[in-house]
Amino acid sequence: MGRLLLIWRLVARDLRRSPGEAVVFLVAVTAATASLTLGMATDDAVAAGYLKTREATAGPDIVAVTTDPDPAALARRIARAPGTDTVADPVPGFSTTVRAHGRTENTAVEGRERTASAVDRPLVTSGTWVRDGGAVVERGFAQALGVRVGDRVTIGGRDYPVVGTAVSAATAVYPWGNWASGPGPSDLGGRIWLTTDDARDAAGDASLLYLLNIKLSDPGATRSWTSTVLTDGIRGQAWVNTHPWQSLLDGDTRLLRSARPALVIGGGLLAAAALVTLASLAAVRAPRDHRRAALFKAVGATPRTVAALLLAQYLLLAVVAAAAGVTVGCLTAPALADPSAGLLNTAGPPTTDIVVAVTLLAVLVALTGTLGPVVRTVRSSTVDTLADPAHLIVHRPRLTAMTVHLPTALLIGVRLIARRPGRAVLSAVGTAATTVMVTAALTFRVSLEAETAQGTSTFENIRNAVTGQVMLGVTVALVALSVLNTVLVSWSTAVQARRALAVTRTLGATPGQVVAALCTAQLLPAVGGIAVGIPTGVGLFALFSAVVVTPPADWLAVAAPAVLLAVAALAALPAWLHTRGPAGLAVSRP
Amino acid sequence: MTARGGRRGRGLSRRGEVGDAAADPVLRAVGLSRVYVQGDSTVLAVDGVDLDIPSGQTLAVTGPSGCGKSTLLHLLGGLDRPDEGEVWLGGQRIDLLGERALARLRRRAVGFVHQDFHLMDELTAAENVELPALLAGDPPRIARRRAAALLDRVGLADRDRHLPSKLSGGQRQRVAIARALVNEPLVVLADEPTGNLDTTATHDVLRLFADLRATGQTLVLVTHDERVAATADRVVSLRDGASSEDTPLAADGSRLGALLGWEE
Repeated sequence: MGRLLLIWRLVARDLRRSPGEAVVFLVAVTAATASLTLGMATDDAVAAGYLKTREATAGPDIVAVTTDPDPAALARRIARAPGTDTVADPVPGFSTTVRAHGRTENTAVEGRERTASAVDRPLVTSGTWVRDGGAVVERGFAQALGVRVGDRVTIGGRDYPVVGTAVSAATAVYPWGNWASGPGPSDLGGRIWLTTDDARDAAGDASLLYLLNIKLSDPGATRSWTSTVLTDGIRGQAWVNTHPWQSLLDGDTRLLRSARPALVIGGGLLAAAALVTLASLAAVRAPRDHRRAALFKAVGATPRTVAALLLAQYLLLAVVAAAAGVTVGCLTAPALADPSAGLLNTAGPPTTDIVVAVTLLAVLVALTGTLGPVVRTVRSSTVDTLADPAHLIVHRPRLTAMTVHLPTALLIGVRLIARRPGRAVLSAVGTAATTVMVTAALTFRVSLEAETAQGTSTFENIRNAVTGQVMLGVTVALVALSVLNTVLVSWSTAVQARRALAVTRTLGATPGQVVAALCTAQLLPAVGGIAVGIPTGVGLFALFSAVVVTPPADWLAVAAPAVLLAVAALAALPAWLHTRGPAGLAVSRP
Repeated sequence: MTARGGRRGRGLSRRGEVGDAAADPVLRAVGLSRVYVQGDSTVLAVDGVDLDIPSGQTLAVTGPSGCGKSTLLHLLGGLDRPDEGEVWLGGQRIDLLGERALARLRRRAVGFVHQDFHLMDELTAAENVELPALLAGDPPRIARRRAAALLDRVGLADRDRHLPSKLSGGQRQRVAIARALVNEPLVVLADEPTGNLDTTATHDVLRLFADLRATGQTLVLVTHDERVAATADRVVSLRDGASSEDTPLAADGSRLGALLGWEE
């Protein structure tokens, strides 16, 4: 107990002393865990949103669409069938076009009474429910049309004021709201409610279809009820098409299918970038931790206690970051999960799977990034730990011999890489992760243009818009983390090589040469990262996309040097800060 | 060891390169002051020091810990810039030079020897010694040849492929001295060169310095060890950053001989 208290006190004190490091750690790991949570939680969020909407609107278990001229008789037959709980009065509807703000879309127009129906009672989210001469537009459709309460829409040549917007679980969200297309291929589109009289007037000569909203005594038994109960005897001769609530939910989820890989893979790439951040932080902290460990060992701490002390802080922060990531992911998921605003948003609690996966990712990232220096410190003898630097010294004779032929900046830069090849690998991994995402985003953009040129459906347009937003979001997060990493890695390189670089300056290297060397130490791994990242980005995109068009070579020819230039500029900043002062100060600093 | 022609009287070009302009004294400080600000307080590390160091002289700067010896050495070698006063090296005023020009100057004109050796841990003795020559742009083959010669001169020819971690303290300091000499500097500045060494290693280093003095190498030693200071041509004592005493010593080598147990 006393040992735990001691560890807690030391961890708390270290966090207070270096809050910046803790914040960077949290930001990096939270970005990765939030992305993974989003990737895993969007399906759950869609389901939660749909179920909430279904509950709030007394949503049907099955909807039956029919061309039967006597739908009331069909409704009576269904109501008498075993397993049926309730059948609402048939709702007349027809498929037409609606025009608003110069935009024309397909839509189902539905005639509803002003009184509440037994099944499917659309929830008004703004304005009022239908009244004579006034239209209520499904909320997702209203958003797509850009109409609000008070605007006017033209349905079948007649003008109606929009008196309200509402959500319903009787159809899938826009663009699958047009249930009234009838037999044959269905038109995508939205859903508009008028009063029954207005709907019949608006239909004119168009043939009406009817929507039967059915509640079953066992909502889970929709498929068996459809196959065993809704027989031809009940159906009659007319066309009857049924949609169980599960297929409506499936339709809602379909929009996000192409965005999910971007989120999950993006989560993995962000985790790789976070790993670079943590490893850089651990490298900067290593001498301090090394010294601390030595002092603890000198007063009797066992290696296990020292390891617990050093790892406790990272693990504590990893758990906090996992919790933050899950929270951010779960709170953001509903907004992403309901792009058409057709469902009620709900931020449900995370599932056990999400919590376990995200915590594992955070702990894995924290351990991978920090375990090396900790183990090295723990395994050193007390005397060595007090006396030696916190890293192994490795002589690389061939590389050293090769560098003597290089210009000064390259000579120092390559030797810096040789001092810490692990960091160069991490730096390359970080750049590769960003390049993968940037390339995938570019490939998506080019492929989208090609797909659009061939003609796309409303669904594909919406799906592509959602995917594009997700890819942009993940790319921006990765680029931001990559910027942080580049500065951090350069800073940690400069900090760790401070003494060597100061001595090099006393021996005649100019500050400019030292800055150029630190940039070189970042640029060379970045070249490798870009070389691996570009084909990987195209390949990963191809795995999850039907249409793949490789970005033009000149785009990549501009993008790759631009990334390198950015890396050089970002690396130069901390390098310059470290070489600003006189060489004497640097060499005499403890 | 014999004096090599051309070292005495060499001067510096405007950009810090070694030139042929005659200059005597080789190193000169005029009213040198350096103030450090630590929080709300200021520390006057060097307070109006005047020094003239003729070419070929070995000067020892002594004084208690914290009296400004190392700061003075940094100012003289262009590792730091004074707040007041002037520093002249090889006939060129260097305190007004920028960091870049100072770096170029250090390459050719100044060799540093530090108390903590400051060798690159991951480079062998030979690679450490050749490094300043490579930084100065010398061809690798020439740099390596010169490094080998210098390691031979300091008695470490057989240790050229050893990493610093495999060398004793005295051997590391001898490698550092060889590194300081590789570009044939106008002046060698040594900061407590024997501070971390045992008696035997101290004697080895002092023998080397005696050899350097014999070749006409200008040498400035910062030390708090009176016995080491006694081996110089001249001793300047610092107290609270100011020069309190400037004592010329007999240049017969007898004190070094006595210290090293030689019978002169």
